[in-house]
Amino acid sequence: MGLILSKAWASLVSKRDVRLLMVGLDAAGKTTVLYKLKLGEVVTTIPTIGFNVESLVYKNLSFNVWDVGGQDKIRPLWRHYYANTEGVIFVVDSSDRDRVAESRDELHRMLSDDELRDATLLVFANKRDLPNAMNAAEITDKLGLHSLKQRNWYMQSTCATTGDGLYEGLDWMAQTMNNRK
Amino acid sequence: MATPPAARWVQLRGVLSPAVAAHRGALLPHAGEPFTVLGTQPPPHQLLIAINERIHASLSVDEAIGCGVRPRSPAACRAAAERAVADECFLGLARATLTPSPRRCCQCLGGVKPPELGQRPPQSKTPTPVKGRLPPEAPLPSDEEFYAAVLGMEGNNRCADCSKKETLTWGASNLGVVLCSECVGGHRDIGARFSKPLSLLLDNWSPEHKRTMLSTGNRAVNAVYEAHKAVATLKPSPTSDIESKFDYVRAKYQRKAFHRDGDGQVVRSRKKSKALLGTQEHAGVVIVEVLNASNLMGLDYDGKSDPYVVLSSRSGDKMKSSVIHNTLNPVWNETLQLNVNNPTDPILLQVKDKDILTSDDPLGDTEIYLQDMQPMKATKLTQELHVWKAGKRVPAGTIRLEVTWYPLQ
Repeated sequence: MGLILSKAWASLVSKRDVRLLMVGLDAAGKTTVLYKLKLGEVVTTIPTIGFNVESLVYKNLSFNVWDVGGQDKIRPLWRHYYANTEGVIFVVDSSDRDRVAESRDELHRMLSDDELRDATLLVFANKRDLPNAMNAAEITDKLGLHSLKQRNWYMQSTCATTGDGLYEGLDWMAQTMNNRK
Repeated sequence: MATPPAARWVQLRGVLSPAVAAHRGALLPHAGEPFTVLGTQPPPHQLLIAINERIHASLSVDEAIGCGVRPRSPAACRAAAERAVADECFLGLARATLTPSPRRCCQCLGGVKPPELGQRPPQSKTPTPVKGRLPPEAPLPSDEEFYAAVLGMEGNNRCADCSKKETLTWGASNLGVVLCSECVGGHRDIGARFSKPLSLLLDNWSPEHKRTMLSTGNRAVNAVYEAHKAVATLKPSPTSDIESKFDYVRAKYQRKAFHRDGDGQVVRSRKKSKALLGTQEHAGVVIVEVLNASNLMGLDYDGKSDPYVVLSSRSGDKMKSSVIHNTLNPVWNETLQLNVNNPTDPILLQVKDKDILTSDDPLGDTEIYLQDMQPMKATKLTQELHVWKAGKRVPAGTIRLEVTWYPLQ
């Protein structure tokens, strides 16, 4: 009885929970993206050693976004967040040409994990406002996204400090999630 | 007493001969490479060697010229220059030309004919090793030794930007400075074009970046990046707020405002909303696989409960499992992850009964001690739960867990 009531109540007030994992190399701007979406403001960030998690309610969905630190030696911890993850937001620093290959390797290593086989992929090519930033097409190419055959993916160039592009990306994610259920 | 005159800069350019390069080891660029020498006179008598505007090495005049004193008269100057040549001083040997305007001391130096280096036998006297600087062919320290080697260098015991002595676990891999956990945020902010910060403990360092860290250091970089007298009033202190530190970093590295010909100004950025997360240092991450519990108390009217697990660390991080309805023997098989600031603090595990209208009731709690655990290895635990009843702790079932502790350092 209690269960039936609680389920009825839940269906009225709650939105579908979607677990998103946000990863990328260190200093790509993940935490800035997360708090720009959550608070609408630019926060002063220091490196994330560990993770931040926030829920964002957007278009009938409640996104639980996990923002996980990107330093080399803590990247192996990413896999502990894979279970039940429906979508991955991969953040790349568009202005860091030296490390885009490293980004590609980490991305493909992550996507090869069985627990993420059904996860959709949203790539934020962040810091597009900086001089000499790579454009979306160039990053798509350098990250090898075209080689992803079975994957539902989307590339969005962003500037987390102004918020440009973030909601366009999230719109795509919401639409994909709503089509799924 | 007269105040000491402000430091004036001497700039010398030249090309290094192979013999000098070999002799002075890591202090100098590779043979044949064009370089710039920046020197201050009078004190601190710092000489810096720069290639393509990047500081390559710094040394005191004593180290470089080997003359020990600042030449005062033309005669003393000449004597010092001759001694410098006798000591195979790099200034003399490099056939330096002087720009922009000749200074007295260096005029004298210019009068000394530089020896033909290539034909000289190498000096028998071994050069005094300079603490903290790495000879070019020296093997690089292993990852384990790298951190200690970097922090052991002169001037690297404080953050290059705010002088803080704690949390010095970051380095700008392209510049070669050591940073605290706050100022590194400013370096990330200005972008990879200006600074490429990495964690000294949690990132893998390429040999090239290791070499940069070990051959420059805070002292050498600040001699150039903080040459302006405005630094004395504008440099933030360890306790300055994080916004001022970011503004200073932006001015110092992006606009180069404190180069000797910089504008000496810090531009206040628009106030950001708030500093995020304070300055917590995380000791590690604990991953708790919550398996199942048995013999819990029944608190609902049907004699059952709707149990879920809450894990919390003393720093305030908290994680909840899902709720299993109508059972006294719930099976979760769920993985929870928690940030830990201090591994000596136990982690509190609470089991609670989910209620819809009233607040959730406690079904029992226990503590997890990380200290006794082997890091990176899953440990199976079966722990008794207890609740407070009439002022006493009474047993309230058991819980099974698999706990893995990942210290980050």
